[in-house]
Amino acid sequence: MTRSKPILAFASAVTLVMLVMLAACAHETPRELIAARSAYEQAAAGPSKELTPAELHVARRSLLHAEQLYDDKGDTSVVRDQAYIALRKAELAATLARTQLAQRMVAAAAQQTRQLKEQEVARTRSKLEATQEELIAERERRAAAEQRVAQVSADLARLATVKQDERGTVITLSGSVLFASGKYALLPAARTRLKQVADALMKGDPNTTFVVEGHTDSRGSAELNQVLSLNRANAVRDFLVEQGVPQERVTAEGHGAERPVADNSTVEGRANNRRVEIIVKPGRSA
Amino acid sequence: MTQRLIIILGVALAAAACASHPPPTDTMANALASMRGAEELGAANVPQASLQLQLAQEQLSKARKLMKDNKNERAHNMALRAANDAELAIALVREARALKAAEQAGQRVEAVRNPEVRP
Repeated sequence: MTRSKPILAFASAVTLVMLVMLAACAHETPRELIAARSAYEQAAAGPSKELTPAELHVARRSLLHAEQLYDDKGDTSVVRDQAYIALRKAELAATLARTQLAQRMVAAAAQQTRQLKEQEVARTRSKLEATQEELIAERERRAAAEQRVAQVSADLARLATVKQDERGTVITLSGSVLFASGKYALLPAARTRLKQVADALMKGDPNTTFVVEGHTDSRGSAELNQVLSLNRANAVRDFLVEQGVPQERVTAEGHGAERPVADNSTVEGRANNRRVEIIVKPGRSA
Repeated sequence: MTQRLIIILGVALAAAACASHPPPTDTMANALASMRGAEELGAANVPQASLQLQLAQEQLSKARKLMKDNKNERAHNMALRAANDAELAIALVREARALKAAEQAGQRVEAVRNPEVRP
């Protein structure tokens, strides 16, 4: 009994060492299996679950098969082969999912490009349409303005002599129609006619300005003629303002006998020189 | 006598075991086809795919050696490894292509969005 004790102790020690070794062996999971597990976990956590569920399922079954083999047989070459395959299947599922993501991005980008181009086309089109509309409106405005000018000219032609010179459109009203000899008060008949002239002038472009010029023949003193011509011009201007022509658009000037349009030595020439001219100057923006 | 009988029986059993695993020619042909496919897709131009294809070639040559040694079951598994390597190589080439296409598509969007930035 006394001799058998150390032997027994030795035997149990050997057994213990063997058990520990066995346990160590059992815990040494093949690296292929470890890699396969982590690859599957990664794939399952990524877009593969949604985008490539079939491939992920195959990877899972492959991994479970490897785990089962490992439980049954421990670390053997068959287990390592199966784990290696499971690892590749997990990587495949993840790769295919990433590929699909990229393809979706391509499709989304193509859609976006199309939309942006369509927007661009729509913008260009509306810009062109706006330009077109503006052109049409401009043409209409111009036609209306021309129409107005034509109307004014026609109206004035019936009332007085109208001609064009370097000063603009010149409306000439005979002095004998407007005033009594040597006076500057408008005759009643002149008022009717001037009223029509004022109406015609106001129908025109609101930017035009008017200069009323008084002229006399050469009889009498120059000083007197100057005063008379200015008074007459003022009388016509005041009447036009009274009729509604804005004050700031109409000025008056007296030129006496300085600017004859006919021969002062004849009765007819002198009659033509006694006159009031209204010069229509087009506005700057017209 | 009994000892010899056991040895003979064991050899016979081993032979039978080998016989139950025919040479994995199909599996190997499969792996080879996938490897060719990866090559044709241009795996050589994608580093990751190229590496995966190299692994497939290594597994396949191991499978050939195992088959020569009559270890058909292991050869079959090794050929399966090669086939899975090659399939992953194909997927990696396609992924690289898709990523490149996505990048270019993104650039096109930018170009349309900011035409003045075009080089």
